[in-house]
Parts: sequence; structure tokens; C-alpha cells
Amino acid sequence: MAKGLDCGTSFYIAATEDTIKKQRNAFLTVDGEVNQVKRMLKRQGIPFVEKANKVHIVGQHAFNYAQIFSTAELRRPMKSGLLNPTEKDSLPVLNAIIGELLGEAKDNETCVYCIPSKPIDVKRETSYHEDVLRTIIEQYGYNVKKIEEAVAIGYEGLVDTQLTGVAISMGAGMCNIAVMYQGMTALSFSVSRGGDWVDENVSMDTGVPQAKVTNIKETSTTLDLSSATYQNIYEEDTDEANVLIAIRSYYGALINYLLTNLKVQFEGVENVPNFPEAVPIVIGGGTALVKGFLDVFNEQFDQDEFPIPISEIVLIEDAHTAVSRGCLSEAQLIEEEDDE
Amino acid sequence: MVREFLFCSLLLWQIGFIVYLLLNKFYQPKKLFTHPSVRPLAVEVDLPKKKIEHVDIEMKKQINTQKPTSSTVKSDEVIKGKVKTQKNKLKKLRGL
Repeated sequence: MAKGLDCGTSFYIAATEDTIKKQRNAFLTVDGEVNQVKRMLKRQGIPFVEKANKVHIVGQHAFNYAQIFSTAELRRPMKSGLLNPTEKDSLPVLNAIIGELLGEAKDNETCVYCIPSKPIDVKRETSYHEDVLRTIIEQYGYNVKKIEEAVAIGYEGLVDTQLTGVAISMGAGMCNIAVMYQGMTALSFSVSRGGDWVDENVSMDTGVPQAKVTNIKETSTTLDLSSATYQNIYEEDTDEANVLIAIRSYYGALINYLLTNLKVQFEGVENVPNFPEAVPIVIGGGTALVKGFLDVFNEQFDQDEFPIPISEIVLIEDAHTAVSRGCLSEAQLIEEEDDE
Repeated sequence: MVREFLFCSLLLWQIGFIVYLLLNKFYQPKKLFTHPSVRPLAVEVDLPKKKIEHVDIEMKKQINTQKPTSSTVKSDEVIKGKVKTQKNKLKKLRGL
């Protein structure tokens, strides 16, 4: 059975034809005598990973603990879309997360995982990141293939326009962009800003801890960035209103950064196709899930400045799992081709 | 007789010495074969310049993925049910 795996900075998401599994990509190291800590965590049903006499709580539980105990340091195996070089204990955790999401392969199953496009604003290669993930997935017996994250979004959102248009994946660590024409990628790149960048800046401006900002962004029922709601709370002088105003400002800055760089890259690259007809922009990824996101995007978008005629700006249905589903489609087609 | 012999001998020696000095100073024998004493210098020519580019090599990285000693990780969220994808449309677009 084919599998698609979205290897995100914030979440790992695996998709098969009948299941989607999500795992928060974070952990927290618990101090104390290893066996005693393990016994305690087992009793409470808290998932953990043990390696080199260290015990790490993994996933949503780690995230929740970091909310409650502000002194607990939430650790992230990935940063800015790539493996976190400062996090020495990340590989066993990633290994366990991938193992749980995919399981052991049966009969040379295909797994397609996503990789980031080359970032334009940091000096980092993506090849080591790609190789580590490939090696881990191969360990579980899969026939492994990779596709660019934004292309996976294109496979979900651009099929009705013959895979022609602009696909944007807005993740926690980075945003990936692909300009596609008839199924081919004319231009792809990433910027190392995403949801984490918004949270970090909101936290610095408002004094609210970053983990709490992330939590508000992901779970708040009152958070709405649409212009009508925004006007209503602008007069308020509460902490929540301050956070909301800051979140909206940084979302605007992030989208502006993305569109400006897309314009510059598009104008700077040779052999980019001409688009005689207007094409859509399709957006996926967890950072685009916040209510009112499209309002902010539309505010920042200026057709007169943009080098491609745009017909519409669309948020893909179930944007959070769009990358994993795009990977799954590719994996299924590879398996079908192999069977023929 | 001996005095005349000595006088003639001295005279001949003097004539011979003077002739040697004069010849040495003014006579340059004509050379039949001339060998150039200095080797001509190489002439610089502009060769067509070819830009030499780097050669990429495939690197076999030794990656230690560090399997955990033990793990009880369970997925945070599991959504059961048919997963909606665009596989069929993609297949059609690729002409498969």
C-alpha cells in the first residue's frame, strides 16, 4: 500500500488510502533515573523515546507539558524546514516518529516523502536533510521516492488547470513555492520564514511565551484574521487583542515577503514560461489554517505588481494534510506503473 | 755569419709578431656556416579558452540514524476513512 509522508517542521503527517496519521514533531527530555522515569511515563500512558540513558516525551504530550510548565524546554528536531543542527538528540526521536507513522513495509511498498526546495535566504543545502530522511524510511523497508513540498501541493490543487499555476506550501519552518506549467516546475524555491517566524516575533512583541502564541494560533476559537473581526477588536486593550493584532501584522509581513521574493525570483530566472491566461495560486500547509488567512493574503496581493496574471487565490481543502496527500498520489501512481 | 743569422731571425720574429697583432686586430675571417647564437623566443599565441567547470560527484554518506533503544510513540491523531486525493486526475493528465 502506497504511503505519502509530509516531513514538516511542526508535524509529521502520513497518508495512506484509508488513514491519515499526525504526529507533532517535538520532544521534551525528562530528568531522573531512566527506569523510574520510564515506569512513571508508562503508567500515565505518555509516549516516550529512550536513547543513550535519556528519556524524551514525544509529540503532543511534550507540547502540552511545555504549555503547563513554562520552565520545561520544548525541543524541536527540525528548524526552518530542515534538520535542526543544534539538536543532538533529534535523530532517535525522528526515527521513532517515522516508524510509528509508517510502520514496517510489506512487499516493497512505496513511500513518497516531501523535501524542501532550495532556500534563497539562508546558506544551507537540503541534501543532508533529504539523505537522513531517506535512510530512516528505507530502514523500514520502503521503496523511497521524494518530491518537492510545493509540487505536492500542486498535485492536490492544480489538477483542474493542467498542473499550471502557483503552488505555495505554508509550513511552520519555511514556505515553499513552485511555479508550474503543464506539470513541469518552471521555478521553485523556499524562504526560511513560516509559522514559527510569526510566533517568535509575536512573542517578542507581546511578551507572551512562544509556545503559548503557537497554542493560541492553533486552538483559539476566537482567533480570526478577517478584516471585519480585526476592526472590532482593534479598540480593545486586552492581552488577547494585542496578540491577535500582532499575529495579523506578522502574517501580513510574511505574505508580503513571500510575494515580493516570488516576483524577484520570477523576474530573475531565465526560461520562465509566459502565462497567456490567468492561473490560480493554490495554498496549503498548517500556517494557512488560521481563520481569515485568505483575507490577509488578498490584502497583500497586488496584481499590478505581480508578474503572472492570477485568476484566483485558493486555500486547498484540508490544507494541513495537503502535502501528505500529494505525496500519496505520487506514491500510488508509482506503484501502479510498477505493477503494469 | 752567426751575427747575420741572429739579426735575420730577430727581424723575422718582429715582422711575424707585428703581422699577428695587425691581423688579430683588423681581420675578421668570413664564416662559411653561420649558426645563430641566440635561440629565437617563443611566440605567444592566444589559445581558445575553455571554461573548466566543476565535476559533481555522488557522495556516499554514512548516516547513523540512531534507532532508539525503546519507544512507545503512538500517533497523536489518527483519522480513519477514505483519503481524498487527486490521483485519478493526475493519472489522466500524465496520460497513464
